Amino acid sequence: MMSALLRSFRSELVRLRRLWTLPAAATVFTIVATVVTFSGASPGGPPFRGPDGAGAVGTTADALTASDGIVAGIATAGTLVTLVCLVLWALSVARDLQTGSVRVLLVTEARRLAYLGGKLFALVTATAVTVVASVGASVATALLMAPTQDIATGQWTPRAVWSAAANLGVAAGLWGTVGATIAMVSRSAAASIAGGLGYLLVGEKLLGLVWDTASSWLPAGTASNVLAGGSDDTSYPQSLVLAALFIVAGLVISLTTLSRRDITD
Amino acid sequence: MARRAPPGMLMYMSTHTAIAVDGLTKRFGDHAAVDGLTFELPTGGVTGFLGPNGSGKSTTIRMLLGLVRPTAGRGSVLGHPISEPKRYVGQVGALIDSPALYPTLSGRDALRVYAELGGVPAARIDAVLDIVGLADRAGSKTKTYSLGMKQRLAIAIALLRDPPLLVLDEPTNGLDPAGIVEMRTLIMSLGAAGHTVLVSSHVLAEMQAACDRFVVIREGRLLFAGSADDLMAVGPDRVTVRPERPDDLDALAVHLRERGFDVAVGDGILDVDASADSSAELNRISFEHGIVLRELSTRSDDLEDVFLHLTEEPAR
Repeated sequence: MMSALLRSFRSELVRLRRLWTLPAAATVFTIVATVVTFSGASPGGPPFRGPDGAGAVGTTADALTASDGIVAGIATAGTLVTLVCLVLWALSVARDLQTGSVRVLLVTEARRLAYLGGKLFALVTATAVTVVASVGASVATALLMAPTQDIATGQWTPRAVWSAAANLGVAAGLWGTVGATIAMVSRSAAASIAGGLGYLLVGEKLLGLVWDTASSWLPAGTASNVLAGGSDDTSYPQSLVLAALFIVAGLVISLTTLSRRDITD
Repeated sequence: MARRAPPGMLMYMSTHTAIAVDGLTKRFGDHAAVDGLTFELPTGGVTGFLGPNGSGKSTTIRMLLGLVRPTAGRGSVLGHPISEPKRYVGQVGALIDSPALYPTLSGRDALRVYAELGGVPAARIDAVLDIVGLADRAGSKTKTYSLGMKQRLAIAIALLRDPPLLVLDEPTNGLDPAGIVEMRTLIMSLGAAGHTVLVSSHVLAEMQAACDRFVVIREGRLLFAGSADDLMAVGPDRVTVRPERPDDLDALAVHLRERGFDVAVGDGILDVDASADSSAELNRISFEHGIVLRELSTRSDDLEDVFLHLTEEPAR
């Protein structure tokens, strides 16, 4: 079984090369966001609120000197990076089903668990590469921009970098799982991307109008809480547990759907 | 003898049986796409899988490959039950419907996808590219390939593991006449090389040339399973009658119809729907009316005629 998983993983990596533009776009956007964050930082104004995306753009130079100022670009671009991962996972799953290549793939590897497991491991790898590239680009850009804006970097810590990367990885994995799950059920790239983005960006906010604490318990809110290292309503550990539960639930739905489905057209 | 829908045929599985199905059934809701299908294929050679659109060919092939679960019945592929495809898919190469390739990958990388998944050594990729004649274009993106090249690449994917059994579902779909001939040649060469090939196609002339056995189904039920010779014997023979004097053609047609024969008038000939045994009577009728014949010959129907004859009848 392990060798089948490994074979599926390697096969998926070859296929994922088609989608290299998505991580590249996320990285470029992160660089741009970091440049904008640093060049637009004003001497006064509200304090920097950390990597939750809300207080990053238009932050103060003083705030950028805080320990997590080194990842201020990620605070701005984090949500976009997670969106890219949703698209990446959804496209990878939906294209196999939509184009019918899953027929040949499952005739080559009949163990559907191995096929899907290898694919998901490859997507996790691609997500990790995207996260590392984005965080790395953000840090490198911050280090280059700081001297030009007279921002002191003495308090910047590697811990903030690791923390931002880990949180971004978990949030990206959650959004990716949502995309892959919808793709597996709908068998459509367009439906999975539109449905995933629509729910995460709009649908859950609408739910929040009738359910005050929706953001504490539903996927998009959970991803935001993880990115922010917790919120006033939801602790960081609780957000991590919820994210893990959503990821496991998505994997179970995807695997059950694939294992029970007749592969017709 | 041709075997027509043998009811309750016991599934015989031996080392010489590549595929055997017994009462294989697949229902989608109330519709039975495959209904109690029973046949077996020996190893070796090329078998044509024929049936009108919607007859259940693709569903049968998908059940054989573990993609679709049967509602009832059983089957085996290379001696393993179809309920456990992981035990035999490593020995099966398949082309199912139109090739599903990755347009931005090169032909070689498209093969790599399946080689990695199937645990096939990279060296085999070049070998199959050579077999299907795509070595020169292996580095080009598949979106630049013609349909025929895509079909050949799909065959190359099926050949990656050098499988003893090849299942090709509509490999000539969308090909131009040259591509069809090319595909026929390839399929025949695969059969000659020792592969067992099960191929479905609508291009009956090519199937007739390439296949030595046939399975014919309609509405999910078996109409025929047997050798090509047996299949050709199923169709009605036709007799060609050519009078010495062309002026006698219409008169002879009238006389033959009066005696109950179904006659079509052609270019200087009469095409009579009759068995070879009727030749003597046709000759006698001509002689009775003073018509001398220059030709009186029987011919078997081509596969298209046999197919139409078989599939127009109610399924047994």
